[in-house]
Amino acid sequence: MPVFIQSAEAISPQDTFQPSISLVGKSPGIEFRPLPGEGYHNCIHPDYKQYINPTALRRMSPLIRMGLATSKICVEKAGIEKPDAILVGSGLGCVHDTVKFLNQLIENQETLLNPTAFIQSTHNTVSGQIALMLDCRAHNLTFSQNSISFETALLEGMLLLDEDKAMNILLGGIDEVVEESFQLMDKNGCVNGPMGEGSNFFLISSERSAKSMARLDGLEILNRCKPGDISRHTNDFLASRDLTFDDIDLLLEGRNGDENSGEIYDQVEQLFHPSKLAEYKHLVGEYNTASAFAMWLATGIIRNNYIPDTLLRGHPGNKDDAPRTRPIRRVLLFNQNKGRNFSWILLSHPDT
Amino acid sequence: MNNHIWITGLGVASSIGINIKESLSALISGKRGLGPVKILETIHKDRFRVGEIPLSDQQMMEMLGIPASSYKAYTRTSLIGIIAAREALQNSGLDPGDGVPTALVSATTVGGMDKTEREYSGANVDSGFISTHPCGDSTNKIADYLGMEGYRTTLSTACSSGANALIHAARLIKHGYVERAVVGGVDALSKFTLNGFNSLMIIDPDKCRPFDRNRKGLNLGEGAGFLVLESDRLAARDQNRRMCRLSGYANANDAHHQTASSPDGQGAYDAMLEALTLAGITPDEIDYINAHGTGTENNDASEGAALVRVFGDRLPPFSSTKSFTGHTLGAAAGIEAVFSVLALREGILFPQPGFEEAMESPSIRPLTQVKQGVNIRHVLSNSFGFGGNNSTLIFSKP
Repeated sequence: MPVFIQSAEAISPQDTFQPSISLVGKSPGIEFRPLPGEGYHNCIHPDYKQYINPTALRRMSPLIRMGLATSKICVEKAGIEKPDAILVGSGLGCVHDTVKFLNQLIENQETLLNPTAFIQSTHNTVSGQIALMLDCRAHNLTFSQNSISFETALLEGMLLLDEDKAMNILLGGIDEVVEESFQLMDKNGCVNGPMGEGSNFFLISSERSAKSMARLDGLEILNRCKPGDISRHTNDFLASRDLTFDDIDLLLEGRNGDENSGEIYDQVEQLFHPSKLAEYKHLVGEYNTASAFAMWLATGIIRNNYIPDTLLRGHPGNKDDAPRTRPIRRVLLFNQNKGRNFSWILLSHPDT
Repeated sequence: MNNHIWITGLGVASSIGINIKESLSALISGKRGLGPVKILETIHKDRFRVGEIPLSDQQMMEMLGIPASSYKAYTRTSLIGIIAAREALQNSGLDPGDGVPTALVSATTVGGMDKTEREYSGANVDSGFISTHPCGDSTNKIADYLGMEGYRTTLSTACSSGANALIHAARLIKHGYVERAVVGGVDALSKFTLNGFNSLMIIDPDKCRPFDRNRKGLNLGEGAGFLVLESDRLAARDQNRRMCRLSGYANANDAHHQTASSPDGQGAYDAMLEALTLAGITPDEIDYINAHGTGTENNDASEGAALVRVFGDRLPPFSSTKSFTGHTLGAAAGIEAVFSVLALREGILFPQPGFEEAMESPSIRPLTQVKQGVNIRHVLSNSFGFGGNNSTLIFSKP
């Protein structure tokens, strides 16, 4: 069963949430600025009062706000009233409220606690709030498996569409970073390069329409993969879809500042022409569901047949303009985290 | 597509026992696992009854042969999960060398919170716990310890998490994405959840009384319940290993309130009806219901309303085994799935000790005495959670 991406919205540390313009198009397009190489970077937030009831808004953490605004616009743009399923992936869930309740717990020594932060600390808060906002009683799940949280939610979505149980699915990857969580991860040596956060939502459908921006042609998830096996896995992933490396117009990889992961990305890169290599974590930082941002980017790239310069690896030294002189029909996303949680996602133009 | 999802193994750990044998014996004899806090460090030690596994983390590590030097790497959640998942694998009698990768689909609500809350106290801390905090950590620890090389993920949908792990895994098997999966949920007691539910004022300081007119709330518990699910092809290799089928499953959202269930139990009603449809059976064919039955005012009234909407005046025998284990959150549906399969296999209707007086509306009465030697064709198990999540599972004889 083909899977089409009908809409895609992102709130990120870049100014990506501009419902009036079309993703990463040339003009008017979103201007990307690489993040400073250190620290953590919160999102550029819109005026949420436009999207969320102001009374409810006051109690909501940034993650809930981001999740609701992006999913609301996604559903609207796809022209869907109520999706047939709501699926969310989040590696760390509602960090803001978890830290808030933990701090209260410690400061007040287990007395006089306000339940709001506890209520909002559960991982499925965002998916539950979306159901409330859309008055949607459909299948509703939240997946939390480190840096493949979004991918496993996506897998559930693809299988649901395949069994005709659903036609339209609202699917997202969400994660947030706060001072406390950043400091703890930094001390523990888990930070390589900028850390980020984001809410990236999609409406995926089994039916193509004029709104279809891209088609999802494949997903592969592996817990572990030895560097020596990466090239075989990548080849098999494409070959099982009758494709070769040459058919891929852009490799969007999750390379970050982690030196130990360099070899892994080198293995994938050597399979493709250097002009086809692109990366994105310098724009949004590393976080568990950053691959959902990559899927948002790839959707825009395919839709508008345009690759912003800052994505291209080696830019501005990369003089070879090949990716932009031919149409971008297929984008392969590749991500992993410290030698675990590998994922390959293939997006194509709906006409291919 | 696979037509059937087979259950071939069970494993469980909770305050009434750290294996199937102990648990079954407690359920039959009516021995509840609720008492004062002994292991969790909290100021509420004597104030609440909890369902706590009477083993320290160190004792569990010894049981599992994990060296004391690895203490930092293992949360209580991971340890409890390993105990139950290991039993499920052994219990299934599967051949670990058959070359079929085993997937793990787990569930948890607060993951490694037990370690986080002990060690997180401001700026000057050893931050090692941050890597064991995420929900995915216990899943990785269980899979790594037991050498499961297949697909892994974790569901986190509050108190229905374990049921949704079964639903996701059933879908993976149905589509042939995996052939075998260990599936269930795990949560350890934590100050975070104990104080959280206390701040909501829904903890009964005494032993909980689900569906009772005088119920005052839930008791928290901890534990894990895992099942081995297999495809038609694998289960056909040795039919003696087939315990029962997961024949129906559904997840719906109440879309009513972030924490409260709707008065008419709409989400629960949707989930039960859809699961019955998938199983291809009528309500009359359900012989036992393992209810969500937390003991809170809101849940039991709402679930009761939904049960009456589905079953009318022919409500089959039902009980909430949370009166034994307490509410084990992300583990609850996994543990109750194990109990449901035991009921079906052993022909036992589990009682609910402590129940006295029926609610005003609906006036329904859970079983208070154990019944053995019953022919049980299908068992329905409900699990509901914050965020409006409602899930129903149906287990059927082969």
